[in-house]
This record gives sequence, structure tokens and C-alpha cells, in this order.
Amino acid sequence: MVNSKFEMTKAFTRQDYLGRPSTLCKGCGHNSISNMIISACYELEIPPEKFVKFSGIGCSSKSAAYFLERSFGFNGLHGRMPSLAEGALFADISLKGIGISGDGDTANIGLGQFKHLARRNVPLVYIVENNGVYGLTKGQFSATAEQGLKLKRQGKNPYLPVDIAMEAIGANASFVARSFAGDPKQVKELIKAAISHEGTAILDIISPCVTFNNQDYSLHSYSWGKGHEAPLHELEFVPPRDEITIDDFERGTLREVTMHDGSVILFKKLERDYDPTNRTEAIRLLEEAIRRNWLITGLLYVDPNTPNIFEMYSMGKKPLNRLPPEKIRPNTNTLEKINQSFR
Amino acid sequence: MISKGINWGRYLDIDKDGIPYRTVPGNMHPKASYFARGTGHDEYAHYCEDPEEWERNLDRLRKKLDSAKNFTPVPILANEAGNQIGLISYGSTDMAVNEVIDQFSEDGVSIDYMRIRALPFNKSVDEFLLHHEHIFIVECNRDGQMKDILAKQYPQFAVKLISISHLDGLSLSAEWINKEISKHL
Repeated sequence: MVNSKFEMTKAFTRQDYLGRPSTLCKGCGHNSISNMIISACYELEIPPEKFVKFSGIGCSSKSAAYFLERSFGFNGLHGRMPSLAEGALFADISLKGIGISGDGDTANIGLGQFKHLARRNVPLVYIVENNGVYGLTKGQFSATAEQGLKLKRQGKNPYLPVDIAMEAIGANASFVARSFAGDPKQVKELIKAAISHEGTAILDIISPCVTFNNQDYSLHSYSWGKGHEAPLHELEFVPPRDEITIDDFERGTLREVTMHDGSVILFKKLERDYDPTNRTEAIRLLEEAIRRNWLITGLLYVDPNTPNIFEMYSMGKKPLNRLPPEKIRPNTNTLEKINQSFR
Repeated sequence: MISKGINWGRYLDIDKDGIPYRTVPGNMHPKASYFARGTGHDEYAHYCEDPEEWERNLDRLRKKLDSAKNFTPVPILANEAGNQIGLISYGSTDMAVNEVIDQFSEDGVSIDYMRIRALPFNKSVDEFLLHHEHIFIVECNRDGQMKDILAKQYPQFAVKLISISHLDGLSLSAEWINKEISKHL
């Protein structure tokens, strides 16, 4: 089988997508997410060398070493993963970027970069492993910690939280999802859909920190997530090569969104009939979720047709890093003409 | 290299010049990738806290800096006429320095000029320091840091170095450089 967007020279095994052994705490939600990235990439049959990984700083950002060892990766500065990814992906548009960030890396120090990446629609799977604390520095509150949360040695959080999905939609992101590390099947399907998306795909994944923020009352804990998760739909990603069968779904209960590459995301209606292409509804629902204390999960919003940054700049198909110098640098005469035109 | 079965690592010094070979994203060889990280790492870019690995990497970096002397942009020599007075400068002071050299030349004082373009210093810097009796280091800098770097690296020539440095937010003017150098002539 060959994924339509990428060359395939041989069959891969799941082993080909593994990373280094994790040094994170046992039970950390980030490990579960890493496993789902491995599974999603393997099931999509995309060669691991076609991915490039980016991360900022934090426990989340360390996890980029724990999957896809055969992909290049870069652990950048705190909160600066987006600009790193944007530059690298501009240099080689044939690669698929996966960015791994955390709530501190994205919603605190990196909020500006996060929002500008989203509005530029840089083709990047942007996963926020959101646990509400700075685990790497012993559990200080991050910007996504809920108001009133009490943590050992930190006291009570006086501030209202930043809602990453809301910020993404506010920044005109073209793909916004929320999920829960305790729901690996949904995480995997969302990652597959995000990889297929040709713009910025934001996945805000609640990923409990078992060491510093896993108390039953915490909005980022396993028990709270399991008790309050409200999936919008059951979703299934169907790659372009596969025929859609709806044996498992009753007719009239399905929604479909066709992605740019011909793949389809199938949404099975659960309690509510949610339209993930309706931005206004996504904002309304997120507001309602805040009021009602729901952990809404699923694909909140998608617009597969928003032009991405490479389309905005009319980039050629050949990656810049494969072009010879004479193709990317004006010769002396041309440069002189350009300079003269400014005099 | 990797295809030929040579053991490659991002920080592995294969040919002993301290400068490892690098692969870039887009290279599709299964062994070409590496994870560039901010923490300690071994020669294969894997996370590592082993003190011996750490020391080996730092020693390699020293060797890399030494090797880099042969590859960094060479200084530009202007008006090299075997004069006793030399002038070293760098960056945006270049135009003002050239003007000053012309001014002194009109007054019958000939100065050799070397514009440094990179650190670590190329071998030609050693030569320039060796063959001049008085060397003015002209720089747009509060502390005269280039002079300090040269003095530290070439202590045998430190007494020849005369710092002409100034920082007020504007480029150095030929008038100011001329006035300061004249105090020493």
C-alpha cells in the first residue's frame, strides 16, 4: 500500500516508527500520546523519514525523542517551536512536520508564536500535551491550570486559565481538536486526520502529570478526565486509498469531511449532532463546556480548504533545499538591476 | 558515507578534525536522522549524562575551533606595505578606518590595515601582529573587547596593542579615530 502523498519504497513495521526509551514518569500521559503518534504514522504507511519533529522546552518537548527515531528532530527554545518549524518546513515543503509542545511552552511563553503559526496556517501537526503544570521544574502552575486549583507547595492558583482550543480558533486555525490521553483511540484518529490536514492542525490533548497534578479534583487528572469527558462524536479517519464502508454506522448518523488529499474524516453522531465545519458553533460549544465543566473532546473545527502558507507564497513543488544556488540567488547583474531600481 | 557502511554519528569525529559531518532533513536514508537537543548527548545525539562522553564532546569542540581557523573567512589586508604601524579593525568601522588611513598617508604616515572577518583568528593575524611594532585596534565597542581577545590569544604581542574604542550609539567617525590615534604618534 502507498500513501498518496508520499513515496513508499517498502513495507514498514511498527518497529520502524519507534523512538528512544522514554525517561518520563511511569503513567505520564505524554507516553500514551507518543505511542499513538507511532501507531498513527505506522497505520498511515508514511515513511518515517518523511516526518520532521519539532519541540520547545518541557516534559512534553522531551517526548519528541520517544517516537520516530528515523525522523529528524529539533528541540528548540522555550515557546519558540513554531518559528523553528515554520523555517524548516519552508526549506523543505516535502516533509510533514510534527510539533510537540506543552501548556507552558504554548500558553505561557509561546502564546505569541502559537497564535501567529495558526493564522499563517503553516502545515504542521501541533500537539499540545496539556497537563496544567510545569512538571520539569517541579510542578508550578501553568497558564492552563484552572482557577482555584490547589497544589502542594504552590498554594492556590488565583488566575483564570487560557483555553488553548479557544485561542487556536480565535487565531483562525484551520483544524482544532481537543482530546484526552486516556482516550488513545480518539487521540490516534485525530492525529491521522491532523497529518492529512494541509495547514496548521492544533491538538490540545489533556495529558495528566502523574507526579504533580493528578489529584481527583484537578481538571487535568485521569480520574477527572474519565468522569467528565464528553466526546462530540466517534470519529474515524479514512485514508484516500481506502473505500469508505459504513457497515458500522447507521445511515443518517454520519457526517463526512473530505480533506484536501482525498481522505475523509467520518463523524458518528453521539448525543448531539455537531458540525465541525461551523466555527461559530465551535466557539459557542467551548464556552458552554467551560460553564458546565465538560471535557469536550473531538474535532472541534476544521476547514480543509483554507490556503496554507506555502500556497499564499506560491511556493514551487521542488523544496528550496534541493534547488541549486543559481535558482535561489540572483546573479550579480540581476542583483545590480534590483539595487538600481531602488535608487 | 552512511551508504558505504561508515559508522556515522552527528557528533562523531570521523576524520579527527573535530568537525563532524552533518545530515539535513530531507535525507531519506534510515540512518541519517538525529534529534538535535539542548541537553547533554553522546556522539550519536542521544540523551546522555555520562561525564566521559561530556568531556569528550567538549574536547572535540576545542579541536573544532582550532580546525575552524583554516575555514573561516580570511582577514582582508589593505595598504600592506611593510610599515611599522598596523591597524586592526572589523565590521562597520571599515569605511571610517579607510578614510583615516588616507588622511595619515597625506601627512606622510603610512599605516597597514587588516580587517578581521571571523573568529577564531586566521593564521594571517599571527603574521600581522608579528611584523608590526605598534598596532591600533579600532572598534566600536565600550570595552575594547577585540583588543582583549587578541591580547589573551597572543600574550607575546599584547604590549604592541593599543585600544582605540568608543561606543556612543553612533558609528565611529574618521575624525574621532584620527584624533585618538594622533595622541599616540
